[in-house]
Amino acid sequence: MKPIFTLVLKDIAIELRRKESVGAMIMFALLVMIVFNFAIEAANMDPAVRPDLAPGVLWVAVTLAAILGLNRSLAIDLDNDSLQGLLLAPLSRGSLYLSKVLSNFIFILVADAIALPLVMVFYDLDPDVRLFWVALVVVLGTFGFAVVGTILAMVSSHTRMSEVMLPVLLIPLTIPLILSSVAATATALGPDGEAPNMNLIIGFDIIFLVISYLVFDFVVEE
Amino acid sequence: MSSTTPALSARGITKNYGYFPALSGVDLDVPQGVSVTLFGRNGAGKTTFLKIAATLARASSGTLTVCGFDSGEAPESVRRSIGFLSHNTYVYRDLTPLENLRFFSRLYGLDQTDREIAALLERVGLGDRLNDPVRAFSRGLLQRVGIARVMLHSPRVLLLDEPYTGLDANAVGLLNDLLDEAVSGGRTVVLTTHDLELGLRAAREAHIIDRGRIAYSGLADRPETREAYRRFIRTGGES
Amino acid sequence: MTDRVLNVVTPLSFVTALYFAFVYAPTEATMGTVQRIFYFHVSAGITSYVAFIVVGVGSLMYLYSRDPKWDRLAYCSAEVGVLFAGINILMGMLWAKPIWGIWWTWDARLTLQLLLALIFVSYLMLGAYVADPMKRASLQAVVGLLGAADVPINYMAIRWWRGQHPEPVIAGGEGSGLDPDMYIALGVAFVAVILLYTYLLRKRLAIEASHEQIGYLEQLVASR
Repeated sequence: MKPIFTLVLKDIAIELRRKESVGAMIMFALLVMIVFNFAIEAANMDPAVRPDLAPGVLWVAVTLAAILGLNRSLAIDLDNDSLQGLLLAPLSRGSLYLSKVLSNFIFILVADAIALPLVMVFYDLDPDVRLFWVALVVVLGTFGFAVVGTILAMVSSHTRMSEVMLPVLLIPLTIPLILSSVAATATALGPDGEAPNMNLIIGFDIIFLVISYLVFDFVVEE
Repeated sequence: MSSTTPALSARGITKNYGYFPALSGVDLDVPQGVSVTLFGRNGAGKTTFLKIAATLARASSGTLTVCGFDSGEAPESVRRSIGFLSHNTYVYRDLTPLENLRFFSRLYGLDQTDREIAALLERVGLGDRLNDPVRAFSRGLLQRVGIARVMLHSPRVLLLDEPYTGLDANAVGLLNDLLDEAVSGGRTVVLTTHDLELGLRAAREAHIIDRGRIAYSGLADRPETREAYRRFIRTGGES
Repeated sequence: MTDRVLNVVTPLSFVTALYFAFVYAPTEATMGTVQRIFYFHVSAGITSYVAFIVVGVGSLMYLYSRDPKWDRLAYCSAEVGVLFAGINILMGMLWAKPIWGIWWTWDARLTLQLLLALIFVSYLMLGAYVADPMKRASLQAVVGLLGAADVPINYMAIRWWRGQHPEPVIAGGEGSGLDPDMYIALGVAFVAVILLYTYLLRKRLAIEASHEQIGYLEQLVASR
């Protein structure tokens, strides 16, 4: 347990010093939303319908920001081959994987924390919305991205075009996650006071966490 | 472990990349407290063997134990007993040498005080650069941080993969001093290098890996060893 | 021996399937002759899933045993499988256009097939871009395993989603009044397509085995 926290704290310390990954992710999320706005212009949408777009736009922004964040986080590990230094430490490969998932999760979550209010502003969402459910969906969905993204980032690092390979691998596998998260976010933002169905998101998170934890060795060892 | 357990013991180590055999059966025993050098041409398998010993790679078959711990069954104990150094320095550019070592110290569960860490950094000549981000360091200084990192947890066995590559004369001298100290302190050193003189300088035994096997083993100070080096490394091996 | 049998049986079964699909099966009431593409469309679809199951099994076995033959099975099945997924999608579009007037609809089955094809393609792209062959095998096996876990999750997600937002179902929904003769034709077509998959897979595996043998011999010569 303790080595995992040491690793996560180290990642946070580096990010605080660099201040670039999280900043870039936030900027990216903002830009995505702006582009969306102009892209949808042509549909001549009734302003009353605009809030319906919010869940979709939010999750597209989160997906793209997550990819950016995962790539940056990986780049730090590959610099000076720091990852190999971690592989030499007396901690299991599985623990190493968990610590990376936690670090990535925290970084993407920080970007989410900015993206969500931005979405609420741009898409005229009622601030009197049940924020708790929305926040829960965002947290669980983001965790899924961190779980799958961390191992796939490591896989991509062995390819020639690693930064392009990550989204190519990540997006097809996370479509069910995105789909369920968008639907759950929509339910949470809806007028009916329903608790969103998060079974699929939770199932996704658990299944992929377990599988990735077990096979991480194969990705990092030679 | 007892005093007779070899520091490193390999039996029948093979490593295949697809159909290509990088190592085709390596048997090696390194007694405790001894300095050993592995020679070999590029691609002969020295780095592969060292990586397997460091648990960075998995052997296709065979067993390897370090200080009595099996690398397949107790890899974390193996890692605790070894210090691995290659031309990569594994340090984080955004942190200072002090912060880097503090991190590694905690990671290894050592909880050394800043004073102890500072003392180690002074030993490698970085006393006055303790709090500068590593980003600005030259290669030689980076390597010194790497050397400090390797010694941090006082490993019983040092595995050094071509550590002299790219070092200036000062750094070479520093490394040699540290290796001498390690050996007189009872640690075991396994070194790979291209350089015959540096390789034989402090070693007791020398082995030559050729085409995935140990082709020669002998004492470092014997003329046969130099002869074997010439035969295998200089001229291109036996046909 | 198996290859010799397949060489004969596969084309024969195809001729038979064509007969069954175009002559034996009755013409569908509403959609007419175009509907006959359904027999091959569905068969190709099921076959692509079978191919992916093989990828999943091969990946798991490779991670367990490190025997290269499993790795070979996995990615050869992926190469052949993506073909059938593509054929399924193409046939789906060819069918949809005359009947519904649109090339594409995000109906459950087509969407799932598209996702499967994407996972196949990303798996194959990974294989193409990793330099070290040993690493490639491990990495592809990991992705193959993740993909295999993803397919049932995809199924549940898309089905649930389409349940919320129903749309025209392209394949007319199984069991929505298929004539017993149609079931027979479907069965025959499926056998033909699955035999084709097996035939192509074996050929691909044989090519790959020769490839690796040559690579090995080249290494042997180069190291002398």
